[in-house]
Amino acid sequence: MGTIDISYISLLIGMLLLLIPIFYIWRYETKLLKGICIGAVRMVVQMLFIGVYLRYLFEWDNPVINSVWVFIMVYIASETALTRTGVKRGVLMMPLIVGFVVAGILIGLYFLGIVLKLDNVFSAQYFIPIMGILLGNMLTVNVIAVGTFYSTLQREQNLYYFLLGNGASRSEALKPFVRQAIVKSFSPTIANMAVMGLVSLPGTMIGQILGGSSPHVAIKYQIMIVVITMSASMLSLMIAIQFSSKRAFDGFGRMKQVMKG
Amino acid sequence: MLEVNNISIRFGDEQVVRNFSCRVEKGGLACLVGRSGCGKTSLLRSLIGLTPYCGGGIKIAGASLNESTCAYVRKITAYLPQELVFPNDDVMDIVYQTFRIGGVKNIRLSIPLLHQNLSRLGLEPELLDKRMAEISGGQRQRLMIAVLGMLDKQIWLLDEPTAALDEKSRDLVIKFLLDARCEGKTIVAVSHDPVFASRCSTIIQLD
Repeated sequence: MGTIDISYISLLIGMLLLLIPIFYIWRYETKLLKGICIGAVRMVVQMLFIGVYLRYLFEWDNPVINSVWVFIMVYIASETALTRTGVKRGVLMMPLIVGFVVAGILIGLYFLGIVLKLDNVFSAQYFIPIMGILLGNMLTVNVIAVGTFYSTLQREQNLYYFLLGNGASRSEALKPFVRQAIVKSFSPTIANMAVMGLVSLPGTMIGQILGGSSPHVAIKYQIMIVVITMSASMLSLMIAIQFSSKRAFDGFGRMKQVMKG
Repeated sequence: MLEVNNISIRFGDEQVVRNFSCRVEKGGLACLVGRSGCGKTSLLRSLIGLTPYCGGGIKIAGASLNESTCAYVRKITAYLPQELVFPNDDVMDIVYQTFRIGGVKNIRLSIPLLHQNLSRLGLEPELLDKRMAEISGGQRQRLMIAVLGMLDKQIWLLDEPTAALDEKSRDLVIKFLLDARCEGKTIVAVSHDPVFASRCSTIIQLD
């Protein structure tokens, strides 16, 4: 059975559901109103464009073009994470890019080359969607975790200096803050993973089933997607924190002004 | 043991400490006094390189403080800031964490000794079964003094060790520090407490 298409009118009718969150966001004066409206418009425009881009990328199926496309995605993800965390560009931008590229390439190619055993791991049909899903998850985790790491560090500097002043190395003194960042960013994912299949039926699996795959295949893909997104998110986070903390402290281990404003 | 030679501390345009010098001998108990905002905490922190300074220099146990020696200086120093906010972990987790850091990895945590130190500071051992959020600021301060007392550090730097303590607890803390001094520890403490200052061997006036 093929997938039932959604007409543009039906899509518009479906999008009316967004009025529910918009109403409550407005009613409780959360200051998210502008963000959700801009976000919704951007999503629609970007998704329409991506439909066009992907058609050409799939047609050309050129490893170099695919890699350039993924790098553009990395750059946009890094810019977005940078804005959302409020950390200075000089401290965080390069560590984010390195983290996304290294984790994305390592984990993505491991999945495509070793698990799926693809002859051409840069094939547009696999490389771009897998890197997309990895980057989306890495972005979410890095925004929460890196933001938590630096804001908690700024707020609770005394604990950091207590540990440092008593002989801890910089990485030892940062440990409680890294721990908090991991707990905050990974708790929802871990909770979700534990009820997957019982409570939640995740997106990749639904997408594949709607696209005509058998549930048996869809489940295996879904398991691998969860595994690779978690691994890539953790790896990119550790790289971003390690590299950025080299720029965030001076030779004495004293914290520089890392937050914007 | 500890020598500050003509240093200045500045935050932006504000000169907090100007051309300051002092010296504390081994086994001394020095009290750093002065009006609020005169730079006592900044000076204390600068002794282990946590606050930047300019001008002369600082020597701790014969080592001139700089980027390459600060790790050594911190290994022989116990430092207790005034307002210490811990994550809401179990008290014992914080105790274990303090014993796991680089400067003290070779020292084993002795629970009987910890109980003894807590008792000397007027704290019950049951405190160790609580979470950090369940104990008061004064209890937290004395707990950390008890823990730092076990780390076998030569120099103790304490920021307001008797703040927020009642008279009895304050006297216990003073006795604990005087005992440590008798064991050869060198202690520098920031304090606004005249009773505490009166028991110190040296008063360092910072104004």
